[in-house]
Amino acid sequence: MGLAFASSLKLVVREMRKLFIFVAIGALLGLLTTSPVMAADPYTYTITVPGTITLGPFIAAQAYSLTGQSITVSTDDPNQTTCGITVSDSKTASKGFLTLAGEDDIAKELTNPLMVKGGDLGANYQSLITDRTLKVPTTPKANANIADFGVSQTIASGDLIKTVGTYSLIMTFTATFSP
Amino acid sequence: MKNKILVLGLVLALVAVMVMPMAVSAANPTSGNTTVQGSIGVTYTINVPTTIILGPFTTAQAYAATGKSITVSTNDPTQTTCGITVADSKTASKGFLTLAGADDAAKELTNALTVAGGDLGANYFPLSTDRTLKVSTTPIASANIADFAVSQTITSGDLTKAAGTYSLSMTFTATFSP
Repeated sequence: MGLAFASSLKLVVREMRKLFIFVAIGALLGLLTTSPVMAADPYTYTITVPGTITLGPFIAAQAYSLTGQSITVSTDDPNQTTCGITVSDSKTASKGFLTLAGEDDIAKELTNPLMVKGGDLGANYQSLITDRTLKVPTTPKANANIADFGVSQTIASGDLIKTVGTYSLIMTFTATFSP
Repeated sequence: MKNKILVLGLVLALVAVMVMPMAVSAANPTSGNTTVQGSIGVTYTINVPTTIILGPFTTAQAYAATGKSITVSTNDPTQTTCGITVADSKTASKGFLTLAGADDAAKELTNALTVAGGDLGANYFPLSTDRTLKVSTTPIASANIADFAVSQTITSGDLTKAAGTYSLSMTFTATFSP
């Protein structure tokens, strides 16, 4: 009796193993066939930021500011529920400083770095010499929208005698969505 | 043993299938760029006709050119008004076209060049003295002139003068003020 049971159990285990291998082979085939589809994410993730912010012209030693700028994020991916936003100056040197023609030209940068505020930074300006988190991951993602982003550039008297031209930098805003 | 390795490999593949979609959907940052810019040094500009050609002078009559534009602008936010004057900057034979444009009283035309337009209106005035084309006007863009004109009356005596190109250089000055 016991021998028969053991034999049956062995048979069941063997059949289960076959079934498991069958399922696993199916999964492997699925992986091979669906990977290209997954690489092309069907959902869209968007961030809308101001195109150009013009301050000045700089003709006096004072702070030039522009406030009330909007940053909005969205996605049609139902799996994403939260969103965070950061802002950075992607230059490697003179990070956060407006430079002549916007190039990484340390010799022709303004005296003070650009300051940013809004979102989680609140009303106090922070220099852009390092990346700034405007929104920690927030649920729902629509709450990551910002309506009070502001920039401020303090012009020193020494700036006014610098090379005439347009000083600029490019801010990069990054929105990161997560489930 | 062979079966175990096969099973292990296939289990890993199965796990990969389950995990991969999550990994893809979690890594989806998106970004946008904004340029912040400001210029140092304010600019003041005036655009005027570079050359106005009258004639050639072949008969005793008035030769005129009309509808010339003069435009001014600045990016200086402290300036709100602008006035425009026009002058012949020669010290002698002021307002007279002279041979090669030099200050050569001996080889000048009989009559002075006359100008019209802007605040001068439609009537021509000799350029023997500086002329105000626009008094200080707000906004600055209102100082633009589209009807500037010059007229040169040629006498019969001029037609016997030394052959050549008679000219003068007009200097337009825009004065901006807060």
